[in-house]
Amino acid sequence: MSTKTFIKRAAECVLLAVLFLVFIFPFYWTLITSVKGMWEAIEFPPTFWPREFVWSNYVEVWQGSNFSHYTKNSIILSVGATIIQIVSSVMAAYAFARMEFRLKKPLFIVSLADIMIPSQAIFLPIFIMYSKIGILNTYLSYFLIYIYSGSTILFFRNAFMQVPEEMMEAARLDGASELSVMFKVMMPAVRPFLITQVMLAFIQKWNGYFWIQTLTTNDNIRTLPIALNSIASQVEGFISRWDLSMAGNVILMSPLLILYIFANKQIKVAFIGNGIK
Amino acid sequence: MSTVRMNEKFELKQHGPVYRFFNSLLKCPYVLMAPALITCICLTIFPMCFGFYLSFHKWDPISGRKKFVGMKNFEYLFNSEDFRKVMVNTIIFMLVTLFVGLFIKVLLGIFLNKRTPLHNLVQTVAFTPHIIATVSVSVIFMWLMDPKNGAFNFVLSSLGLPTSNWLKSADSALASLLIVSIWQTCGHGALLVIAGLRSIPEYIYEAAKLDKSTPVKTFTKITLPLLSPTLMYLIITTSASAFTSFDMVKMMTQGGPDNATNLIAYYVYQQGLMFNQYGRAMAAAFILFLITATLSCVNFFGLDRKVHYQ
Repeated sequence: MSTKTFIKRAAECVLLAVLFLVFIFPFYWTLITSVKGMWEAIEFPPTFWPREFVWSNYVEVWQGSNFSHYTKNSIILSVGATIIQIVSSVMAAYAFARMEFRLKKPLFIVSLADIMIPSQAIFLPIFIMYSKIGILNTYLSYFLIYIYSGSTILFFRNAFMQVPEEMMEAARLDGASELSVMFKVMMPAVRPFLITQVMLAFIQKWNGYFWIQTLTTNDNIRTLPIALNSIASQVEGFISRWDLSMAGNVILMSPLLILYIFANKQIKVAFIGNGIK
Repeated sequence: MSTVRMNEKFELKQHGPVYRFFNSLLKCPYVLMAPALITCICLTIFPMCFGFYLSFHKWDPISGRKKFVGMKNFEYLFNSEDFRKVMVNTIIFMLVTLFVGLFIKVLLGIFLNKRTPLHNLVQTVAFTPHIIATVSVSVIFMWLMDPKNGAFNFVLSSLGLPTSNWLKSADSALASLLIVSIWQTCGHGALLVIAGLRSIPEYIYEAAKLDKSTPVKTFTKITLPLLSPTLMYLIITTSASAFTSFDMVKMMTQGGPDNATNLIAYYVYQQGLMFNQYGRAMAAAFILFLITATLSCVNFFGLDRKVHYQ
């Protein structure tokens, strides 16, 4: 009996180790390739630990491939779009959850349009409209896309509806203004939801590729994912610079990985829901 | 009542006109909704209608001439060898991610559903690919799958197995793309399965134990049916993602070699922004819309909405 349980435990541990390797190996490979020299990176058979650490790859990517420009754009666009999306969704959700007005039902259905309409089906008309108005390649064009997000409105509406009406009434009876009700009663009550949504929105924007790829024609507002795409497809005299691509990739991934190390519970909850706790 | 009003007036008087302006805005629902709703109409609903209108036209973006051609664009698509291949690829992609992917997700979820630190660590690591950019995942695998110097071929050859050209040959490109896609999504799926498993109340299992149910029977009669909302959600989102997958195709293969990995979302992009065939692109986009809209309708209205998923 005890040998049987021992074998079972051992098999379980081996399987866990294999799974761990399957998921960690690509990241490990990225990291070590990013600090290998140009020739060592493409050596075959490959080395599993760099012979010498070439940190200058990062400098080369940062300056030579102009990653400083793309990082700046990435930060502006993801922070800006996150704030815009959350503020406008909270406003709309507050109206839908806490107010009575004549067109509430039909407008709510309209506000769920993007659950039905994927961005892959509408990017071309938007591209045409933007180029007619002449706002292609501007920050504005990107922010406009994110003012509306049906799933965020729906999420905040459900969160606001869970706050008991009595809390608001009590605050109003105490003479609180509408702004105080909003910021001192409602927002604190939905704070955990707010945090998850902000994280989710930020992660999506930081990783965002599709809109930037389709709505830009020059490097003006392009972000890190696009920059990574262009170094990965670059070939210098028959040699692909995988060391540089991987260094760029580390720059793109590291903010989210650091966030994930420190807030992995919240991030899992943000993507999965509370069942995982 | 009058004291209440006096209090409110008193509080408002303390603040400046800006505060009072924003305070009054919070009482008008239409103003609160305006930003979201106006962009919803201008940048989601109107483009969809405009695109539908375009799909019946031939539009040359350089000269700017637009001509009504009826169903010609759709006819072109259905008669085109390329589009047929794209649809076949998309459906293969969907079916494999559905069957193989779902199987792996469920197995992984069941295996990792323990609260030990080791299991927790593997859960966390398995979920990592989901939070980083698809672009990052694509670049990593382009490197690992490099036919000449990649780590995969090194591992295969040192084990004495035949090596592969991975993304570079028409025979293996779609399979390689599928491996990457399943690797990226299975941690997320496994965590959803774990959340589903943990929502099944313990006493049901205890009752089954008292009734001397076999493990297989417990699994098929209790676990699977109670897990079905999670499974339905996974099935629908996975099938929809086959039709919207763009980043990975654009990064790793650009639809090639020889259209072997061209999926419908990339086809729309190719026709629209690379070949400037707006009409054909929008006709394909409309087909894409019909499929994903049906799937998300089933997801949204057909499933148990009490369970919250992201």
